[in-house]
Amino acid sequence: MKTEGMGRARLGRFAAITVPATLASVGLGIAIVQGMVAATISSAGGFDLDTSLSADALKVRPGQTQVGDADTGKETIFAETENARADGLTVKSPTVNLPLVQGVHLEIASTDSDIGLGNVALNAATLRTPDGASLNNVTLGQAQSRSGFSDTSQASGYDATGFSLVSGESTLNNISAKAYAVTLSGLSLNNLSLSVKRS
Amino acid sequence: MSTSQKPNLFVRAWRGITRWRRTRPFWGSLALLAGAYFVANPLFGAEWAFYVHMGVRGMTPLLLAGGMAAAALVALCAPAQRHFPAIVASMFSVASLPLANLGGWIIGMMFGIIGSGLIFAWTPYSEKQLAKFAAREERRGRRRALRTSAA
Repeated sequence: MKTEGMGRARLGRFAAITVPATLASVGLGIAIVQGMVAATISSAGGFDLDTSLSADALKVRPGQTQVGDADTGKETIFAETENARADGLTVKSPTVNLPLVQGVHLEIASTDSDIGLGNVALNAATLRTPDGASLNNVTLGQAQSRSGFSDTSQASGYDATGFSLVSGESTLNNISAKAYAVTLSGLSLNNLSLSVKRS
Repeated sequence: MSTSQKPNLFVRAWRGITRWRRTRPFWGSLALLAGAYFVANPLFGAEWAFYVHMGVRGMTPLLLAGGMAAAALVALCAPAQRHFPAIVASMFSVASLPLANLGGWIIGMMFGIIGSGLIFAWTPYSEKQLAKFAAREERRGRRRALRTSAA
């Protein structure tokens, strides 16, 4: 029995909100993929990042970030690259427990062999390159104040007199990292796949 | 109606909840709340030092998710005020794509857009529609009574 005060959703009004919003989000998505809009990804639980990276310059220093109860005060690797290009890219989000489908994660992947990333700042708990890496013009042990890091906040573990590694042209093959934050100045790729998978 | 025909407490409570649910954009608000949850989810459990390190960028997903959740609660508690929060929530949902972990890994943004659309789309029945529903109910009742008397 329908009485006064009850109502229902009307399709025309639903479309008035969802159609422009969908068009705007598709436009923004294309702009992100084309590298016109910077995207920020950050996670307290850490997310998995797999790629092969080459860059004009690489700076690495110890960092720290306090994230989540399990990872409080954990040391991290803070890496900044200039004009980075990636060969293949896979980002796995932290696992989300949903009421019906327990434990799923989102996977964003691209099989492009030449993905333009611009300048990248990566704060990772672990970073492995099992297939090796090549670094040119390496300066090991240079004071962080002389390396020109963009993030010099003490909370990020920056120590002006602390250890850092600076190199020129660098290639890191098959990087496997558990990252807490990645900032990309742009992302330029030709194919992108999004999928929700069970963890 | 005699006392024995009265519905029990559970049935009466369920009918009350159903009536409450139908007098507001319930499913839209739930979808929008789910969107807010997914947008903020990657940052749950973070400590203050995390936000200090991340700066304003670290706060953005929480601000967007907070705005979406507030819009959902306004629509749920004050249905008459639903239009403006729905429009703002749809903007927040779209903005979450570049600003908050690719829109809460896309899922949060989709829930946000659908939820705010459902909230905006919800409208109470007009007097004319209610009169039409009442007339239809009356016709059905008459037919039922005829069938019963024929049997």
